[in-house]
Amino acid sequence: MTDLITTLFNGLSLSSIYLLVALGLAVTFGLMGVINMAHGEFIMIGAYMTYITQKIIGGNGSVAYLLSIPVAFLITFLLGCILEKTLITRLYGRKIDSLLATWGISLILQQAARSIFGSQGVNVNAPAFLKSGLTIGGVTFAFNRIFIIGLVIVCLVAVWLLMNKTVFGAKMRATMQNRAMAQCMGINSKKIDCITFGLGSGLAGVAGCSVALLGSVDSTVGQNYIVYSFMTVVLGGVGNLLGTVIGAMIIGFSSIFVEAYQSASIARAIVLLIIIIFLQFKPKGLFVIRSRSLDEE
Amino acid sequence: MLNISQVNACYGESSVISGLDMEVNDHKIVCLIGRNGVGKSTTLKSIMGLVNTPSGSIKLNGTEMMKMATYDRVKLGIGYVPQGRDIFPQMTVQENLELGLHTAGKEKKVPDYIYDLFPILPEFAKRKGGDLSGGQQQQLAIARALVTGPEILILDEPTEGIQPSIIQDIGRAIKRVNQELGITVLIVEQYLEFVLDISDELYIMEKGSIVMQGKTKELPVEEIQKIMTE
Repeated sequence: MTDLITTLFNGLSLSSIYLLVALGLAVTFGLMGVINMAHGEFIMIGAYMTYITQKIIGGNGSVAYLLSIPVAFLITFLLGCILEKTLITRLYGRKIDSLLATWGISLILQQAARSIFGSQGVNVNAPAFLKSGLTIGGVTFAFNRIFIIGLVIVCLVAVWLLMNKTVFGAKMRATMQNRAMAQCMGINSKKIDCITFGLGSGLAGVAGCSVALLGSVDSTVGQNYIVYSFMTVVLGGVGNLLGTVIGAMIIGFSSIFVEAYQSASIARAIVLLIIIIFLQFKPKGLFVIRSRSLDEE
Repeated sequence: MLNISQVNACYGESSVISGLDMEVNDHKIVCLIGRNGVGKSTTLKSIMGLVNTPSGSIKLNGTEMMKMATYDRVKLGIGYVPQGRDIFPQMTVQENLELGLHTAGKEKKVPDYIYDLFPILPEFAKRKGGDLSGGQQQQLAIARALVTGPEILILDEPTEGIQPSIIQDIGRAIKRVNQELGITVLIVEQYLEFVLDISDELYIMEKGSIVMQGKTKELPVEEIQKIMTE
């Protein structure tokens, strides 16, 4: 029984991590349709921001860690905006080109990180309040895992509110659904594109803060997550937040459950197999957006 | 007043309109007609800045718009209803309408007269735009353009694929908008009966340029019919 609860909690924890790293991609790839191979590097930058903030502020790490989340968001948000303005904006509608170009950016950012921080990984001190865990009936729930689950819920709610309850969100959805028509409603679609891409990148930065809690940070830390991020978004159905949530849970829980009875590498293979079979039957993902005008096209 | 003079428009290398001159006088309903593929929609897209216009001049009330971005032209006071309506399919009817509010920045809510013109809209407020029928979408598209508070309303084939009773409703709404609110209207259309009934002035287009123009009442109907059906 305790084993099962532990496995379930680990599944939830892994799902929350996948969801957090995929959430930014759900915005840039899911909503905007940009294949951003440098998404993983924004995660890496977020993780390094956590390290830098901690270095600068010092102390036991709690204040520094909490502060690093908005710092990482802001820095990666700005970098995302700059990347959109200089590169992505020239490549809308050219998926393969943007894939190649952003892959190049990804390599540049990785090398930049190696040049600045060295190829050796750096460690972020987990803040004191996240070091222990909560033990109930012999099962320990690590605080840092619970914290990540909380963080992803906060991010998810914030994104949902922004998209559905604000003027900016309405303009954003209009722009993503029909760019020309959005312009004809007086919406500055270039500004919206830039901020939306920044938002997706900023979310990757926040994901980086949580990744920094889980292990050492080096220039390739983002690469560990990029494939799972894309799988999560595609599995859930491109352009749908709820789909991304469910996609992350399918991948997270199935990984942990297979891992509990088999080895980690078998688990990876089986998860990939599940996704391949699933996409054979539902090539557009779990949740397909359907409407008259879209069906006609 | 909308002045178009010596405008050229092209898609890539192929020129669609060359040396177009047109004037849309204030508070009038002006129709631009012609057969398929003569450049009517392209004319409207040139006004909106949605196609490449390498040369010419397009002025609204004296302000040159050629180099302006589409969204800035809209802010000058142009409401655009495109061919095929282009309702945002995943947004509710209410959200589609309210998008226009932030353009003008004058009103906080959708003006009541819009619901008066299109009484079906409140009924469907919470439905997704993409779930409406063609006629309903057309009414929503016109209402949405009106919410931006335009001085001139531009419509691209508003009767296309719409059942006759709804066409009548739409015609009445356009006339009311013109007469009661003083909004200038420019319509591209192929449905001649509708055009003859609604317009004050007519422009007839062939192969990218205007071949006949004048007050609707003074133009020879038979000749127009011949041009349209040839």
